[in-house]
Amino acid sequence: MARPAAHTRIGTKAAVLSVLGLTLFGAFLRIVSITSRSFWLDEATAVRQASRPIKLMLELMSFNVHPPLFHALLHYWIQVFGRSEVAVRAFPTMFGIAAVPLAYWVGATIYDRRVGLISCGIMAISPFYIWYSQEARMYAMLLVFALVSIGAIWKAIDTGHFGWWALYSLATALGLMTQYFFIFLVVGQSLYFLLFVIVKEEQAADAEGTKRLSWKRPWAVVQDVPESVGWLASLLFAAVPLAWWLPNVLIHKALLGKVSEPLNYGWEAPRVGINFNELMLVPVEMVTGFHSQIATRDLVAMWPLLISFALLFVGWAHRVSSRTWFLILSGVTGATIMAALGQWQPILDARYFIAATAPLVFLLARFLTEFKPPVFNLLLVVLVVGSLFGWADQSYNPSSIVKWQNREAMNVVAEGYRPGDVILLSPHFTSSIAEYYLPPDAYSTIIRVPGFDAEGRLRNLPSQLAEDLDRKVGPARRVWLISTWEDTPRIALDRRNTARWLTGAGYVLKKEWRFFRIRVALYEGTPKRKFFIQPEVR
Amino acid sequence: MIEIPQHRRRTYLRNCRIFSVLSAVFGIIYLQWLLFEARPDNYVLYWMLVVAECFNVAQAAGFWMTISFQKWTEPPIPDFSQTTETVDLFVTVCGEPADVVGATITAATQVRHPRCTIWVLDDGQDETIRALAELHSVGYITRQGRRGAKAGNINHALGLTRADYFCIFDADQIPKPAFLEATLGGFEDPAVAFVQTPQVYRNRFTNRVSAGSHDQQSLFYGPILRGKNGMNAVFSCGTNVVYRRGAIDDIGGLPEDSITEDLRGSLILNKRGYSSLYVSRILAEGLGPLDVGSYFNQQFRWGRGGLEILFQRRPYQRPMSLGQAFQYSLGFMFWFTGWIYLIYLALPVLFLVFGFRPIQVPNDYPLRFIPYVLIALATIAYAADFGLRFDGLRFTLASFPVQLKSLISTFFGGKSKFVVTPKKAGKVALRPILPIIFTMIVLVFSAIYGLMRLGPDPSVFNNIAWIIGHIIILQGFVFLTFNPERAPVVGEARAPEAAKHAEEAPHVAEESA
Repeated sequence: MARPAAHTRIGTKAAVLSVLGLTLFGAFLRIVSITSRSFWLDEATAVRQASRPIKLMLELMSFNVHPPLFHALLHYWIQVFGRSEVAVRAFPTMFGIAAVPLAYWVGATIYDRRVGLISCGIMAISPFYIWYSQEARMYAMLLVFALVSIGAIWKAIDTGHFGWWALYSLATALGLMTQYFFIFLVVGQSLYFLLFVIVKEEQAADAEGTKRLSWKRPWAVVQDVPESVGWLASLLFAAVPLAWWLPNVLIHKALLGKVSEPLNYGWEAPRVGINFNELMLVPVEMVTGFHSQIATRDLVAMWPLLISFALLFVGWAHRVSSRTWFLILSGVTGATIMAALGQWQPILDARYFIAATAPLVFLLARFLTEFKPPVFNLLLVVLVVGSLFGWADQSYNPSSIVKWQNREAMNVVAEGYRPGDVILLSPHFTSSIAEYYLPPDAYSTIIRVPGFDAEGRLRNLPSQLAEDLDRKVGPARRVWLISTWEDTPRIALDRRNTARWLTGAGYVLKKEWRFFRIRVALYEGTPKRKFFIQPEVR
Repeated sequence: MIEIPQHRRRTYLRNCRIFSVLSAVFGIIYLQWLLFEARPDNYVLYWMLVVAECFNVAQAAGFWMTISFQKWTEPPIPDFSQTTETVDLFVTVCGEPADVVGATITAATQVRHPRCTIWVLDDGQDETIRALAELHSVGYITRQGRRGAKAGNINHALGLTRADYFCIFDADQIPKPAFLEATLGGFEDPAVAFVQTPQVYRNRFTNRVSAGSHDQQSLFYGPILRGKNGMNAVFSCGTNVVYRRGAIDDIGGLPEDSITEDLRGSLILNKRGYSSLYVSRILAEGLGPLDVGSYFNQQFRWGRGGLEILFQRRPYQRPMSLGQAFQYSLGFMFWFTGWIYLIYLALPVLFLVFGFRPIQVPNDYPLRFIPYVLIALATIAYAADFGLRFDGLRFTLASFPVQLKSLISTFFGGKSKFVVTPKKAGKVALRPILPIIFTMIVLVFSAIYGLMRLGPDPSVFNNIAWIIGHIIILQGFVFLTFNPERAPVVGEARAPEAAKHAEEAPHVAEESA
């Protein structure tokens, strides 16, 4: 698309002040609501991993689906600032705040200051980016590396300066060591670069009247397009840390096959097939943040707007500039690959797309500059009001589809716990939550439902569940049942079977506390021994 | 106009075919789901949707086929000193302003051909035009009455002239000097009856309606006519065209029984075994409609004329080639687009107000529909060499009231009249857009009523999203009615682009100079 008219130019002083103001406002939104939700499973797991000695942590991370950079940095952060929710979350928040002025730099570099400022504003108030700035995971850090790599490669291609290639290489290396999906952003950028090479070669061909581009003579192409050297070298250096790390991961051959185990609960094999709602959920969350099931469902139902947008885009395609193609290829390629992979593995989660969303911020900002006042002002008001409303709702409305009131639930257990009590935790993989929030003596009594056999395999057949409980609960008079993730049918079934076993074994439900997506039940009684239930079978 | 530089044509055509095949595959997948797997809710609405979608896919398939057969015809430039043919250049006038006609006559005198005679065919019997013709030393022909409208005017002139070829320019169409050099070579084949060239609007940079109308036509004068050229089914568009006189004499002159004499004449010529060519190069520039009312009048005339041929002139009675029958059918189908769009407009309203819906919408619907629509749009965008504007799509869909009126008046209206598109802007008139305003009010009311009646339900939001899409399309004409003259952004963006192309094609630059 063509650059905006000259009358929209913004002076340096105004730009600096605006970026400063937006960064402060973005920081305010992130900090003021930083404890508005408790840790969820992955955050607590990250804290657990980062709390271990660094050598052990690296060893364990080689079994993980993510590379270790975030956890390694978090390890040292925790040593300095402690393990409280605020202290831990301050680490990603720092990156989230840094992303705001970075967005200005990238927007202004690729387009102009106006686009830069709008991008900066979007980054500051977007509920999606605020959410991940507050989540004690690697996504805000990933976003920062994505932004730096986008700006750096554009500058590198534009100026050919060695420093920009070096920065691009560094950002890419860090991004790849933060999360593997960063590779898809690199693929998109590389596609653009190849397009750039082709266009440049075609221009040379037009000038000389000869055909030059041929994949049979790559060296000649490299000579024709000197930027290729910087690009190839950058990618090569960026791959070095990964080349050091990946062998540690790939020796665990079963890892890839187990990727989907947590969500499928070790029960169902991953299925290949498109689930439209899951697919649509990603852009909806990216645009509006995280809200209640009903609100999200309604937003997903508005998919026909995609058709309108596609119609508009077709109408604008003739004015799409190389900078816009750069962003489209960088963002959409990654998102498309992820969506395709999402049909095989459960990765259709907005957070995994965060690197791919970075280029889309600038496209959205550029899209807005297509309009002139009053339509532009109207759209800006809609964006600001919508974003702030989205931020408030996702921060202070507990009924969000990705919110768990873990802290509140665990506090009940921690306060009511007496020595001799037993705590049953369903499902088994949420123990990091209990470990983080419960006092050590209470946590030491945790029994994970279902359990594992001697070989470490999950024992989640109903009869085995009953057998395990019968053996493990022992003579305890008070049993706490903490259950969460009940929107997964298999987990809900295990929970029902556990409750049935408890009542069948002579326990009586004394009290139940229901929180959002987690509940705590206290059972009391004198247990009968060797009681077998007729479990509910799926 | 969408033109593809020579060195890109091979790749472009190959990619058009790839896109077409992909679109067809996704179209079939979608239709297969709709016809055999979808669970109907309200059967009447379901079959309405099926008809609409089948029509759409059929029309789209026609487009895919057409763009896959694109052929560029570039006749050799004849050496006129070695030939003996004579040419009459007709400028048809019927009440157009003298300054507009004057510019056309001036340009016509610059057309390079040693034996070309220029005639002003004035159906307006205007003394100013006569004086203009005398001033430029060109022929002037007028007649008593206006029988047969434009076709009658031309036939009358043909009775008074004798050249081997004649070309037609509407009063506003300014020919380029190379017009005859670029087209007459096409008549080397004695079967060729006429050679058509594109119609572009030079006022598209200063008038939004003209720009939109230009963009709407850009596909037609680009990949579509090139595709018809590949299937020997080029239609005459009534201006910027050269006819072989013998061919027109053979069919007894241009048909006067239709307000779209160009289309009807093409059909008769094709049936008589004549062929036609399209030279995809801008050789004349005219004036587009200046306000929404004029645009609608123009569309109505074309629609009514096309539908009259379909329903009252038995177009399929004598055999044509399969390709020609296919292409004429596609041409006729276009005038039903408004009825199909009416179905799409009605569906969300019927759900929100009455709760009727065509299908129970599981995940499968968008899953089949969205890929089909996106790939079909991508195909259009590519075929248009990414040169299409949103207005090009909007002008087609939002013209639905005119298309409805065309069909109704074909059966129930009086005798059709040939109305010349005004060349000067009129006052702001709301009447032409009243149906659109009414439709928008109904849509907004339905959205509010549905939300109040059914509450915040996904089905409600889904239909509201459709309504938003319709309003984005429809509101454009309301805006254009009040702001037709403001220079559109695209004009500013395109002006340098046009200059760039001029540099690439020296002959155009030379002519512009």
